[in-house]
Amino acid sequence: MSQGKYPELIKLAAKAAGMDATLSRRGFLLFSACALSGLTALGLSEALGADASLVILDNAKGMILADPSRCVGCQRCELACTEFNDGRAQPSLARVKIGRAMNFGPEGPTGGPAMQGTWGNGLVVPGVCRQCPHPVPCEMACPQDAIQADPQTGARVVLAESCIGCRMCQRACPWGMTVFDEERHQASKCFLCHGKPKCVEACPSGALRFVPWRDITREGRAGGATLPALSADKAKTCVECHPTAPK
Amino acid sequence: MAATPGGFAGKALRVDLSTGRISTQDTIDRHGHMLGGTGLGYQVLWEEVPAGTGPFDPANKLVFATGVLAGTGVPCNGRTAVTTIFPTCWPRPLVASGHMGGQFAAKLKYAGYDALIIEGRAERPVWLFIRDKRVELRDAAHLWGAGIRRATLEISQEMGADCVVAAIGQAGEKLAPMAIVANSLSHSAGGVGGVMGSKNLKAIGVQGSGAVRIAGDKDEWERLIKFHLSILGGNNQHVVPSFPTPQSEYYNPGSGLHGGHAPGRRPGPMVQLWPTATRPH
Repeated sequence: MSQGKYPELIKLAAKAAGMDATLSRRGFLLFSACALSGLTALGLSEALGADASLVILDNAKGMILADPSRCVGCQRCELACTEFNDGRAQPSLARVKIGRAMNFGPEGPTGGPAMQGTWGNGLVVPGVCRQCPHPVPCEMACPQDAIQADPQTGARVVLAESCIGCRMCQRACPWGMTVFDEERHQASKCFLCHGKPKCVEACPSGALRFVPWRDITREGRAGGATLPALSADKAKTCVECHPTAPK
Repeated sequence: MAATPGGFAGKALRVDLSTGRISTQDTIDRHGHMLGGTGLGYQVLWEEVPAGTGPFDPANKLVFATGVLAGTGVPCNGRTAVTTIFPTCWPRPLVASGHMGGQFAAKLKYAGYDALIIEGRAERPVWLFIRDKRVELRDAAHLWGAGIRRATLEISQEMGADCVVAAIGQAGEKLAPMAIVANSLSHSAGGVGGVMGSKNLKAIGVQGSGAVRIAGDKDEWERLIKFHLSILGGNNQHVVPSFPTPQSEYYNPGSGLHGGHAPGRRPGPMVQLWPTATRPH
């Protein structure tokens, strides 16, 4: 049976009207047909409707994936991002972040044995925008609907004509990837350079890749895990399952 | 930040350690006709330091200066020229210039300064804190006696993980003639550590959120940089062989580095670009 476009919301509306226990199929269809007006009456119109505030964004089509084991900390990506997009070299404005974790890793200058970065174990962890799926933290924080999905790439972009410089998106991003352009007094973030990310082009070691957006919890380099120690006998048997020898 | 012509950050920072006075001057007015950090440094020494000044006298000056390209993405830029009266010249100390790489030059430009001129001598060990317009002399009693790396780590804990620190170690503190000043883990300028030590200046920590402006068209700039990189290749005139030999570098395509490649291979990024740049396959 068709439950209309928003079954959960309809049930919610029915509950609010005191009809959830006795909601018949007819009642359900009635609510479905009146979903918009009903929800308006219940104050839920923010989620739907032409003039309602933007909430749900379609997933992005692509994102930048960073491989810390390849990053050499050259910062060419940061420079490409700002020089080629804004006409000025300004790493504080870069929408891919290297400098902040380059020296000591994401934990900062703790000085301990587990410290990353060039002063630690050599691992430089780049910061990249995840082009988050719904709920998108930066977009949800924006009171002006100034963050929307680019029609071409689905990238979450800050619309310059709407941004008022309140910095709420900066506070909202869990990855700290929103930057603030002091000259224009506006926020900015990775917009995937309309499908040809300049940071990816600039990276000399292939640490940055432009990949189709998908759940990347299992994404990794084709080489897979590296083994810190490998006995000679076992190494000989690797090719039995992995015909291409490990590099 | 106000708009400035491209390249130059616009200001030269002057710090008098004897009086604690910190001031700025316009770079282009004063130094615009000199080329590079070396040129700027020699100009300051020529105009302001009398002949016969000893390297460890308070009247000696220490100039950290950058060039117009420092801080941009142009390959092969970014060194800091450190100009002063060198204690290592024989038979008498003479003005000379040491260079150090690392991120110091770029960070100084992002902070808004093309050059840093250190004058006089502090009464007690100090270090110089530079964060954009905020410039302070801070007590360095807890750093004096520490090596360069420990001093840098301590200052980074105070300023932030992204700061660049140019510091001297125990040799510079004791005015050893070949002592270095070093920044960014391993980039040193030789001979000047003792001059910094004689001024009781332990370190300079810099953070900058500003920009180095590109005056020209940014798309032309992008093409220029990419062209420059294509000539540079692996910095070996494209003669790196693809197999190991005793006399040459060797480039393994499996390394993932592009730009260093055997003859016949064109440079190119090792990335997965979509066939049409906007659609996943």
